[in-house]
Amino acid sequence: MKQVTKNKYFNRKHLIAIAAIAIVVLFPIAHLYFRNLTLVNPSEVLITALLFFALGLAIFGATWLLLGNSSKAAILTSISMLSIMLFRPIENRLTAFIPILYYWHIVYLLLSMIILVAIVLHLKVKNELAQTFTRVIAAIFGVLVLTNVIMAAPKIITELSKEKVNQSMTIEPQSTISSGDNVYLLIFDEYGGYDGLLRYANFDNSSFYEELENMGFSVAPYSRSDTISTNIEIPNLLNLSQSLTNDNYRLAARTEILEHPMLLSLFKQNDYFVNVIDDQNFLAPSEDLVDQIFIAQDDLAKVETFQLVTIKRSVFYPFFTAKEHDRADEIDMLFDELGKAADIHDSHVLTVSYMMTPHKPWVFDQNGNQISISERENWRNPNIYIGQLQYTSSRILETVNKIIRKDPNAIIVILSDHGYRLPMHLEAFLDEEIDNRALEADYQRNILNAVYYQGKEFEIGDLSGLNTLIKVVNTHFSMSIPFVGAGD
Amino acid sequence: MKANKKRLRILLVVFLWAALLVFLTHLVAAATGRSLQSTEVDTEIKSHQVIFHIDEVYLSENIFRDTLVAGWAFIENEGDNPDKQINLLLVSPEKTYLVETTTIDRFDLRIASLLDGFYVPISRNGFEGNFSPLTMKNGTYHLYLQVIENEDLAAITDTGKIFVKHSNKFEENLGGQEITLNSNDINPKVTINAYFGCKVAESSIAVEGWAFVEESGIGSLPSRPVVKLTRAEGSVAHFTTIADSSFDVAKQFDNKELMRSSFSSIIPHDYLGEGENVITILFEGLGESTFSCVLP
Repeated sequence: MKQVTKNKYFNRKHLIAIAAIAIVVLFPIAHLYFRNLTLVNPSEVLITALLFFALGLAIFGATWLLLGNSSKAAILTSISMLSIMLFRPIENRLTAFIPILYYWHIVYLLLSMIILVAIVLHLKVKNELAQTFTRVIAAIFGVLVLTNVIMAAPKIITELSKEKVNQSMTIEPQSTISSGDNVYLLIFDEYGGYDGLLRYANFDNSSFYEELENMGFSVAPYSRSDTISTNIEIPNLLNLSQSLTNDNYRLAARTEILEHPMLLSLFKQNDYFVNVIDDQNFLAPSEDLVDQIFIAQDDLAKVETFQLVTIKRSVFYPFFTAKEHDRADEIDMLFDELGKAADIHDSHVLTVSYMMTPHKPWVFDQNGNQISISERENWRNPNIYIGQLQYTSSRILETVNKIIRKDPNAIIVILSDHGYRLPMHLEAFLDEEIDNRALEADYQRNILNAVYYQGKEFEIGDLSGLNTLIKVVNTHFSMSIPFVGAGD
Repeated sequence: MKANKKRLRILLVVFLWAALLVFLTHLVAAATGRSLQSTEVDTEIKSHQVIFHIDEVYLSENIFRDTLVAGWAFIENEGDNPDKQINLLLVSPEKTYLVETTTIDRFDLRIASLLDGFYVPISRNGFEGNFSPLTMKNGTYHLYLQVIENEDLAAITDTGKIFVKHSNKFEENLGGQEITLNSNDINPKVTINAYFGCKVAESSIAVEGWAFVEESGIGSLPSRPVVKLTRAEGSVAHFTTIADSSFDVAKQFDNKELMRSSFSSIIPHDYLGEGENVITILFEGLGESTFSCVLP
């Protein structure tokens, strides 16, 4: 007769308990993820889910020891994990209702509730009933997770049905001729063009353009990009083609292009030293294309990551709230690093820099003084954005002046990915309506575009940012990459 | 008997739980070194004039609402006062709190052209004070500076900065509150000297400039100026202002009394009427400026 031994630790009851915790942990993460499907990398979601699941398992282990029953422990862990992961929304609602409460009051109240539940579970709830409760919790949260998936289904289908991005453009190394002069591509996120700034902030930026012209730059104050999405424009710029559009955009394709962009490959093929200055680790190029990279912050210090957003909703948020001066220090550090780019070598250096300024969070006024934290995302007052833009302008002028003095044969391209997107944000976050979408889109696509070509005349007219860069590359390497987009 | 004991025990636990909840903020403040020192100081006594400037007020949004006030202050003297002390006093009608600051050297003040003609002490003129409003009582607090140069030379002055503590919120009052005037009198002997700008933002108008009262050629600041808004249809509204340093004005008019003649006020856009809105500055019971700005 065959003897069946029952595994004490991994029977069905325990597995259901662990599954219930996993589903509960998954719910807040799925809720956030499916609402930001096109912006979030699934690997980030997985890491975040695993982190919180590990915490859940630790609590589960401790409570199992304490209560002596896995189902009861699973119920308590589920309540604890929801309190931990949804702490900020709970705190916001409670403090709106009872404004004398602080962070520690909410911690105390939730902790009291968890202890009370533990006592009730231990003294009043039978093991069989606890097992049923665990199943009910798993079922309810399973349905909630599934609801999120179903609600996001149309978006998921659209994403999956998008055509594969054609990234097949390759450059033959022998077809290029270049002087080997140093090239600098400086991208400033959300730096508005002349028209957009005048329309949305009543700000005349002509003095900045005049100063650039005095240094020998050709400027295109009325230039437009083809999109107002950073995730589309920057990969296209670095790939010297309109690989991504609103219709075919997928996060995976964007990441793939940024890992192996044509611009970096081309310069690498021509024996250039590739220097990258990367804010928010947005560019994240493949290691084999880069000789030197400066990353301004680690993953948990980035402004917008899934992990950080999830943690900032949790009970741990006070430990992850950016310190007051962090962002300001980062921006200054990025400019300082850019200023050193001309010191690398006298020739054959490509520097690609991406800085998320004057994009929010706004931290500087026009004189470089730090502004109040409460103003950092104030879209109601365009002067806040203009303050940071003016500071960015003064740092750009100071930095390019330093580069030109050290490296007069430099080729410098200054671009923004899109303009000042005031209407878009007023609509998205402050419920304002846009009367004429086409018109406002046109102003929001008005970008910063200026080229210093060794101090020589370099006609850019009103070319888009992408075509300006193509023209510079064509001139530098004697190539003929075709212009793209309808506008030019 | 046994049941009664059990009930009493539960009652005691509930009482202790509630007591801990009530005193939790004070416990957190004590544990993190953020308790505020309560004091009693007579801020009305006039002694020496304090020359000062508040460079920065920073209200952080961390869970402790930590606040930084930084600037410089001195009482004119030519000595070096290594043990100089500068304290912040947060004064409400009910309570006064004292915050000791760290004094720092500000040698730049001795060569600043704006302070030409002032006897600037040699060192320790800068200060930085950090405090958390967690344990402050609800109320409106005026920020005073207590400057102790040495044993014989000390003074207290109102900085013009106002803070409001209400429940878990602590905010700086930036002026712009609508007020009702007690007197609409005009003193024909005085002139209101004023110069200001009106910056229009998305949801408010920032009125910033300087103003003082002039009588028989002598300038003074008898009270805080008030912003007057006159709408096209004739209705009028008045708004509070806050004070700031104006060494340039004092220098220009050669009158140290005018060192706090700068003002600012943030007026919500909603107060504007249809058509032309005229903004002037007035001193209650004395008169109104002829200088004005017209919106839109």
